[in-house]
Amino acid sequence: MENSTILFLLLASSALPAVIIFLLPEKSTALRNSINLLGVFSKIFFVAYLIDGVINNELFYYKFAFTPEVSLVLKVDHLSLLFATLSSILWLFTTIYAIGYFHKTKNQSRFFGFFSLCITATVGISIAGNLFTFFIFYELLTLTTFVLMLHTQTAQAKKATIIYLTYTIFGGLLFLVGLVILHSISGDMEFVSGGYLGDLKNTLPFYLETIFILLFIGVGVKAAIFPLHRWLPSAMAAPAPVSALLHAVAVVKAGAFGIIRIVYDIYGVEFTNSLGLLWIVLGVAVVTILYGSIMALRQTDIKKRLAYSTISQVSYILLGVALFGPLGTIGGMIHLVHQGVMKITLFFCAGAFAKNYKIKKIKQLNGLGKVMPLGAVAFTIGAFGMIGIPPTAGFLSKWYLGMGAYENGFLSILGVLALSSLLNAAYFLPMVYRIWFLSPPLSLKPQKKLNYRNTLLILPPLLSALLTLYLGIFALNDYSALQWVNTLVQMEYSR
Amino acid sequence: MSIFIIAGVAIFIFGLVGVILQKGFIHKLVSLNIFTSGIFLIFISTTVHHEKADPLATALVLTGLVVTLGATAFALMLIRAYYKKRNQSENCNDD
Amino acid sequence: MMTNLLIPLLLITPLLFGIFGFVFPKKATALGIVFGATFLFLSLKLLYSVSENSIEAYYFGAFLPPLGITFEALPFGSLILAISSLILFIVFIYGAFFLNPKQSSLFYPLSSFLTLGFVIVYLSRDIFNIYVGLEIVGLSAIALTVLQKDLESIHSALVYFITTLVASGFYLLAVAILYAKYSVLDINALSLVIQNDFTTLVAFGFMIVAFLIKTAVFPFSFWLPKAHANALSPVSAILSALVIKTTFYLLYLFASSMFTFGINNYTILGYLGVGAVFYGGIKALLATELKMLIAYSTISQVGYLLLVFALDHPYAYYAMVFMLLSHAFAKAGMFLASGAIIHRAKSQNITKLQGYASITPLAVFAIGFSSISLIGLPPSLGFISKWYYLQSAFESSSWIFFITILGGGILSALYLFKILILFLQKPLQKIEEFEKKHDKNSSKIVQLCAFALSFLSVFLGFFSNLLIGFLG
Repeated sequence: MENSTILFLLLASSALPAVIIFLLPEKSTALRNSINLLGVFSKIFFVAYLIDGVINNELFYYKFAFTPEVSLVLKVDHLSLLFATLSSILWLFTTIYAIGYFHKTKNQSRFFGFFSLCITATVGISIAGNLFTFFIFYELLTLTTFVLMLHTQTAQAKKATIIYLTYTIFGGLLFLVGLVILHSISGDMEFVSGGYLGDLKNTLPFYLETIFILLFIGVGVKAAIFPLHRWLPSAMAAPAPVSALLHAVAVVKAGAFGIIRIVYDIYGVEFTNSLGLLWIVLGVAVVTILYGSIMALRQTDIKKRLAYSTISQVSYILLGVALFGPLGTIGGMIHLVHQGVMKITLFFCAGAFAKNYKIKKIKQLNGLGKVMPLGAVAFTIGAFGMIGIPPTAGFLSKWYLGMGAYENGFLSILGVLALSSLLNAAYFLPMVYRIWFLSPPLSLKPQKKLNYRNTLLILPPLLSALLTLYLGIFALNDYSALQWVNTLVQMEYSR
Repeated sequence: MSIFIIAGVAIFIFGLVGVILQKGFIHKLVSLNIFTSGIFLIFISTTVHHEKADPLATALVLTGLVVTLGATAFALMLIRAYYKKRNQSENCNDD
Repeated sequence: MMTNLLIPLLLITPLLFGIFGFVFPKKATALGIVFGATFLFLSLKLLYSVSENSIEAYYFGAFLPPLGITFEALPFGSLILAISSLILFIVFIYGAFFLNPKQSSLFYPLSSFLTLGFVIVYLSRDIFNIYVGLEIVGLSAIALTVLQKDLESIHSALVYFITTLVASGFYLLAVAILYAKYSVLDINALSLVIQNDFTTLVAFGFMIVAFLIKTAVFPFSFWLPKAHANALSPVSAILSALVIKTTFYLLYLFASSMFTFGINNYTILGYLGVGAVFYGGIKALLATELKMLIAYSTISQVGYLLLVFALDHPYAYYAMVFMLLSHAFAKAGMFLASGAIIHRAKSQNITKLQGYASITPLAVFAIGFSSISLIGLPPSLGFISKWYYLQSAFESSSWIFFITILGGGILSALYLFKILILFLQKPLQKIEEFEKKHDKNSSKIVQLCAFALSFLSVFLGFFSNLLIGFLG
């Protein structure tokens, strides 16, 4: 087991703080926050260490035999680090944000404990070396997020949790069935760049297709594809840090990440194409993109609009997967990172607006630019990123997706991309307009000074907005998502 | 010997039917004892060699009898406690 | 002929401690804890020596079969015995804090006698000796049930009593028939001479019914819910986790060693299992009291165990063993946790238990971990069991059982998440009121015991490979 310690350290950096936080009394806020942040920074350190190692072609691997046929495998590759880096950096931002958001509220031990466990699950998903290990962390994610959804303890939260659990457990069950059948057919195989199912002789396409559909639905629930998306808008009943990191990033990205792993590292993208399964992904992606955008237009609640936007945007990743070819893949994968950063900015701002001025509805955004200029700027950058305006990161993703569509001759997909960008503009620009160009109601008084809580609420979205710009402007830099994904995609298509 | 076997089976069935259909714990307990007596009779009568009872079977049936005795005693004690408690709560309820 | 004294020690220890416990009631708790530790040590030693040699046998009085009684420790039996001793030990520690002295003075001695019954059932190779063991288990269990002295408990104990004695009668009748026909009582000897004819089938039929009744398999499960729900929580844990397993073990043992003809004939047991899974699951969903919910959950999980008879696949055996082990830990932990919560809430009514995650967080965590194993979420032992069941059903194309396994999982998710969500909501009363009453009975140690058991039901999943190697 080469270099397996670092893998455990990576998981422990959020699991250990979780256990300690659970044991701490509710009132030890300073200690709790310190331990939490210690975990956050050590996780970022470990991820950096792994990035350095992977660049130098080091192997990080661990295998444990659960049973003679099924093993737990932890492995780090380029794709893992894409997701792991995103998760750990955004965990940093969200922790700072959450400390501010929950300042002087109840049940913080429970929140931060389960929050850290969620991150453990997310990172575990990223370093899972086979589908079985992926499943373990995937279900752990379900278990830890549902507790967070109930945090506000309102009737609305309870309803949202029940819907969420219904969908995810249903998805988990189908995934399990698919997994069992997969193991019966192919045995205990690990993720391989380029896939391994194509090499199996004498396998009925019927089984391969059934497995794919089952797994697709299983991860699709978390990725909020249509028609399994219903849980996401109602999940907005959870507090803003939860919506920001988990529902806009961790959970949905875990679903999208799952689809990427299945298509690229189990089936292999060429094999998936030859089975005709990419058409399913394409169809679902297109429908979800359009459906999400249209529904977003109809919302009057800020978080709900952002939720439908997420539904739509995550399917861009699926679109990238379905567009058979390196350009499409690049577009999809960088969007995994870009959408996360941009969406979290928007949710951070929405939460800050709500905390400071009790703003929940879009029509209440009038003139916010005058009283919360920093928040408004961050929000605008995020919104522009969603629409795809250069030089934000969002533009880059759409560019590659468009090129991928053109490369395949899917001119209609180009149309879909253009249409959805228009729709994005249609529901984001009015919000931006209201913030900057309409006059505020008299009740909107500016914040006198930046107190503790407000700083913590404003700093993270500013940082993530900056990151959005960085990922767009400095995309050709060695340290951008684009370059990393380039390497990844070369490995996948060179098989 | 077959007459004893048939009798044993009959007693067994009567006891079993009694346990199931009788109402009231004492009735069930009595039926239960009849039921086990039937079993013991079957046990002995099926293991007879040359007009003599099988020694091992006899020992086993003796064990069974003692077990049933203990269990019946315990059951009676419980039934008594049950009815006593029930009458108490009924008396308390007549206000 | 082995002169190893381990097996006789396993018999004498519970007997002696039980007697001493009755003679010195004031010292019962201390004696109980010492007994628990001693017995745990002995059964682990047995487990270890079985893993080395694979069979440990003892011939009482140096008499060989067919006249003498043999005790044989095989992997499956010694594993369950070891697990039972571990669970008992933790329940004993729980009881030291949870029970009042009067209850303790009876609880520990009775549990010791119960343990004696376990040793006989899991190790004996003589079918009449097993009858005695079953009676010891049954009577001790009933006595433990009535430690809770209210009307409901005595009633449900009496129902259990009558039912279990009828079942014992059926078993004894079967022994009589077998002895009359084959003149041997030893299991190993019987497996050599047994024939597939009418009288033998009748005997085995009675045995199966006896075991089904005692294992509370649907439709013979009517006695269980009230009996388990109305008992004291540590007793409920012992009943659901351990006592139920004894007769299922015997069912499996007899079917696989003696009555091995026609594995297809046992499929009907599988269908009874299907009924149990759904009946138990639906009733659990409809339950309004916490312990009733947990008791119906037991009926449902027992259904899974029966599937081993219908799935003709090597993995089904491992699935069954893992289900048995994981359920024992999960259910015991759950009942212990519920004891702590109910004691604080002074009510079993589920709606009154809202918000207890803030009041007894460790106990709710325990219920959470137990749920992971019961629903079958990875990486728990319950999950591995379910995985093997699904694989067995898929590879033998048994679709009804495949659907049942999934359906049972959905049902258990429904009723377990229902209570977990309830626990996580806002408490009905202010927490400060609870903080004032510093209760021994729901103290941290009590909850910790519950959590330890629940944690094990999940954590043991990592030892699946080891267990498979041990079971062979």
